[in-house]
Amino acid sequence: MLSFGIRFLVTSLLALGVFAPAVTAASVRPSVSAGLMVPPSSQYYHYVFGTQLDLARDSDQSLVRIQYLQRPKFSSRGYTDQDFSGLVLLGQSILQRKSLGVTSLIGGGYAWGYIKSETDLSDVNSYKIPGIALALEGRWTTDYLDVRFTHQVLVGHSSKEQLNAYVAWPFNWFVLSFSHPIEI
Amino acid sequence: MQRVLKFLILMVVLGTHPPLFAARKKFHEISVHGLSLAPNAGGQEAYRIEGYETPHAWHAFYNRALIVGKLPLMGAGYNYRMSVCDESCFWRFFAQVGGGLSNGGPYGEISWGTIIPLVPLWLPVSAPRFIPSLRLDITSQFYLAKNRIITWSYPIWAGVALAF
Repeated sequence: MLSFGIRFLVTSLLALGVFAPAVTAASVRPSVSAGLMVPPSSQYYHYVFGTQLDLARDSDQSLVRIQYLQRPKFSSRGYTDQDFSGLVLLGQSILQRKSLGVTSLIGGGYAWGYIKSETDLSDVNSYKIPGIALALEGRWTTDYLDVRFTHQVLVGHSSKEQLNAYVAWPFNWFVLSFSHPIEI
Repeated sequence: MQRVLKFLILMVVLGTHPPLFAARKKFHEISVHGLSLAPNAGGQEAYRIEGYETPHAWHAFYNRALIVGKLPLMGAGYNYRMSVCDESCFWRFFAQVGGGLSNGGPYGEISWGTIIPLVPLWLPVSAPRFIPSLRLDITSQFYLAKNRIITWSYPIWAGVALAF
């Protein structure tokens, strides 16, 4: 009876070892971000800030990111303007050296913004462009801190007329992000 | 006719099967880029030739849309390629980071690229050699010019690649 019990226990443990899913480490990373943005057809660098939320598995073997960035209001000569972006990205680590690494991300989202008169409320120009987004980032990760420097580009959707004229709208961002990884 | 078709499919499948190339670790490729989209009407007539040997990519480019002094922007440089889906994939996807020298000053470069073999079949095999492929890049360059950094993008840069 005892030997049957031991055999049953050993067999069960072996079966669990074979069929149980591999243990994976997942983490959530709420980040604060700040950086620079270059709109299409512009050589000005605008300050941006925002936040992003990463859900990552096994040192970025797979990664889902939701990101929001905005440019502070800027007023000049009676006009105010502001830009925003919201992206959802899927990523994967493509280089890993101890605590350093490189992650590549692909996804999509929107860039939107406005310029409006401070005196005439009807004088508003706004835009909202969907597009595909790509990002490449260097990362440094410890148990308590995760620091990333990201370059990302959003290629804004062109209308059929614009596409016939070979027009596209590239937005560039350079973003530094800090977070405390939370194991789940 | 069916026999010929089957033979051709078999040749493509065998010709791209990874174990047959196991002895050849290096993957070589030449690609040429032509027209790129741009945030202005007409796009940009920008040519680029790139030679690749895992994981190194050397390139030279010439952009008629951007003028430096009286000459078109031109330069040459190096990129390190990091694959998301490498030569073991039929449809490759990768990122490249590098830089070089141009008549507009030294530049850094980040590219995302995809290479799609021009074969009317989706085969679950590795990247085929000797078959022309469509290459699409999204490239950003950062020029150090006159004490400032100028960012310039090639939102969709189309080209042709040939692996060997």
